[in-house]
Amino acid sequence: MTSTSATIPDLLHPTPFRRIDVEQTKHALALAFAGGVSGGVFSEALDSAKVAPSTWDPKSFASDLFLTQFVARCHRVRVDGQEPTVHAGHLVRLLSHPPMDPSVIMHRRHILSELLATPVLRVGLERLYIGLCRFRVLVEGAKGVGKWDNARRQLDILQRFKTIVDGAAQDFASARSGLSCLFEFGGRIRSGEPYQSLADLLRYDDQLAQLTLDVRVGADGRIRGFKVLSLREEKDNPFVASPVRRWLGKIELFLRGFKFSDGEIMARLIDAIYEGIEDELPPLVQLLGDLEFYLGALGFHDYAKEAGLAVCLPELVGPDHPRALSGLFNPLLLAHGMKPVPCRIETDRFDTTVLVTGPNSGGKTRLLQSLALAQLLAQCGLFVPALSATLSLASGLVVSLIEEQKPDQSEGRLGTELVRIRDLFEKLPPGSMVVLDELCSGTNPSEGEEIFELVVQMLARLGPQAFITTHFLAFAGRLEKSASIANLRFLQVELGVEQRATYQFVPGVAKTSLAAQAASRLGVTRDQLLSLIDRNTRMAQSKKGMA
Amino acid sequence: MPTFLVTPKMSPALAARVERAVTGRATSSTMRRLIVVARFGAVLGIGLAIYALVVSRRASQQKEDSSRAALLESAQQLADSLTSDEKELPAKAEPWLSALTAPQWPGDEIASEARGKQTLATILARSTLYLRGALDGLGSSEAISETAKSSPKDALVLCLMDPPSARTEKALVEKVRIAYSGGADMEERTKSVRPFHDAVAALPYFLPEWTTKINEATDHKQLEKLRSQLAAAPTDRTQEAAKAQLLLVAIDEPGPETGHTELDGERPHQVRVALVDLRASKLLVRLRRPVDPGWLSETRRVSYARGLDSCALAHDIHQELAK
Repeated sequence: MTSTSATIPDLLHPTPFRRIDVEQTKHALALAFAGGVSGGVFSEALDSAKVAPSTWDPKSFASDLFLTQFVARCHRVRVDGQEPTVHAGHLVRLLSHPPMDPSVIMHRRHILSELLATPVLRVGLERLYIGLCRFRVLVEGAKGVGKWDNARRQLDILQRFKTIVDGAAQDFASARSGLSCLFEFGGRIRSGEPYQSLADLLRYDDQLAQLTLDVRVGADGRIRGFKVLSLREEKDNPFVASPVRRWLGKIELFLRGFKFSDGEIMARLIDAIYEGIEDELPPLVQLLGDLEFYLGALGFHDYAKEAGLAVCLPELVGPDHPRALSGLFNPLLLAHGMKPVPCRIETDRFDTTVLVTGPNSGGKTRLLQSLALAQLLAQCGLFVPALSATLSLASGLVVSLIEEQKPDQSEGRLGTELVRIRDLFEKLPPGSMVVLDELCSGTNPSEGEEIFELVVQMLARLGPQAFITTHFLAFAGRLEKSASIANLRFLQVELGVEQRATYQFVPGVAKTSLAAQAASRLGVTRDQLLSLIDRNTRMAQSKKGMA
Repeated sequence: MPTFLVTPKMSPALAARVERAVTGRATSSTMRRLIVVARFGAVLGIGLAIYALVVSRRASQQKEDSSRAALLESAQQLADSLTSDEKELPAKAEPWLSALTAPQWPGDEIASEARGKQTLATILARSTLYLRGALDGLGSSEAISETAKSSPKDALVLCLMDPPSARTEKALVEKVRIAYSGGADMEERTKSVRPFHDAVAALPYFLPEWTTKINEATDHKQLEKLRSQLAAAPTDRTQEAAKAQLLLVAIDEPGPETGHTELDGERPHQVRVALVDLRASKLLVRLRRPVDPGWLSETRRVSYARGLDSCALAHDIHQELAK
């Protein structure tokens, strides 16, 4: 065994970064190649793969942003109408760990831009991905194929590897972004002796000799006879040996403890070829994960386009620049079959705390999700769910959209809310993005407002990009008028005809939460409740009479 | 470690990997060692068995060649020991026998050189073949050979060579007893006469067919069988008999269907006697005479009827030649 020395083609980072455990993966692949495993080699390697250094803590946002669902439904890889199973766990880990190095983000954006601008590169990438998927199926499918000739399976794996290498070397010659590493990867392997030997072995297996026949066919369509016109043997192939030498080889193998067969000779030659290329195989595992990252992003792009929406690579600016997102939509709504209404969000700078007010079911929570997802995707170097966007990088993200009641919860609603606030400040580094839904909704308004003001004041010290929704409308109105807290901004849900929410957001504080309207919509008016009481009373009397 | 799987066209790096692929294996080293030792043992055993088989076959082939050469040499010596005329002697006798067994007796004939007292004994001192059989037992080569097997030198031969002093029972018995006793005395008195069977018994071993048979033998076992046949064959007697110059024949015609028959089968019948010079292809004597044991005493007839009749016949022939 030689030590792993091959350079890994890394599409996610400008400086190649070995994220998978190469030695362990190499051993697992060798075992799978020999026919000893059934599935899991790629998944295990990718699931335990490292990610780029990140200041973001997934525990602070992943579950509230339904990241797993986003990957499963929006970040899908679709090639020629087929949808191969992606390594969702790996993708979730990549998305939940935005790199702290801006150059990594730019590296990824350049690749996506080039893929979008050059369809032929995207086709090449898709072809490479399909090739890798088939390679994975062959490598991991050893146990499921029963008594399939193992040497044939190994030759198919080697053939697939060669196709991948050839594709990488040929399809990405014109790439200018990080995709060019695929060209370098393919070219480097192709120039090596192991690749030449591999090609020779595959040619030896496929075309030991070429026979040209002249076949006579009778009136009934049957072959009447044939004549050999020419016979050409691949004498230059280094694997071609004389029949005597092959026989001696078989005897030698038998004496060495192997089987006495032609297949055993081929098995030994395959082993020799595999040893030459085995250092080049683990990179393919990492490469598969990388391709899913980009093809998933392109899938998200296509998915949005099919729904009449648009995604973009946002403009990244400093925190003191104006924030502007147009055509912002919530991809989770799209994933659940609903048509999201794109909105426009603007603030004069990023490091502000924005209080969002408005009626119930007016889209406040969905807006917070959209903003957080946009920030997350932007910092991963991916498309954001907006027609255009200007965003500033954040050092972290804390999202608190829902607070589930837990059976082992020791505190009441107020206590839980206070714990939530405490957690927020424990996790929050300066310059982070904070998204809070219904802050202090678990207590009475007078006490809640005090805590709310405290939180907003403290947040200002960390200079975050904060978005907070609240129903403390009067309090919010006072804050707006008094302007006692610096960098506090206000957005409200725009109301249309008949006081219906337009799912657009405009500056200001809402005057009403339209609770009555929501109550009416949900059947909680005086008349509707009285009617229910009457009905229940009649039913009870009727049952008594029958008894 | 070099391997036959490496070809001269392979690059050094590939060749090294092929060698590693051949020398390394996933199984435990102990198990592999055991397999290798077992296979080496098996191959060695098979090799030794093949070697032993080849050596054995070679030895067998040498033995076979040696046997064949010895047999061919002996066949050649036998073939060379006789002239072609000598080898054809039995064949030369057949036309004479055929003529003598003709249903119609052509009549008695005595060549001039056979006439005279004691002339016959002188003539018979030359090397002579003797054959006696029934008339219907000499019709073909096969029948002649079969008859010859049971045709030893008898009282007729003795009395033709050494005639009885008189045609009395007493004089005849004296000769017949010598004939019946056989042994050295009989052989000494009749040493120039050989039974016809001697001439044909081992004759096949002197002919080219015997050489062909030796060459066609496919293994040592067949050659050994041929060698045993040759060893058992009376080749020296055939050699001696084949040099005979004369043929003495006595043919017993069937007797009357009724009448008395002695214990030894003797009864009144005609006997055709002929003496032929085979070398000169000349008939010397051809006589047909009756024999009848009726005149013999009861005591002698029981024991010596055929011998006495034969000796009496010899006396009669001598008498005829002496005329």
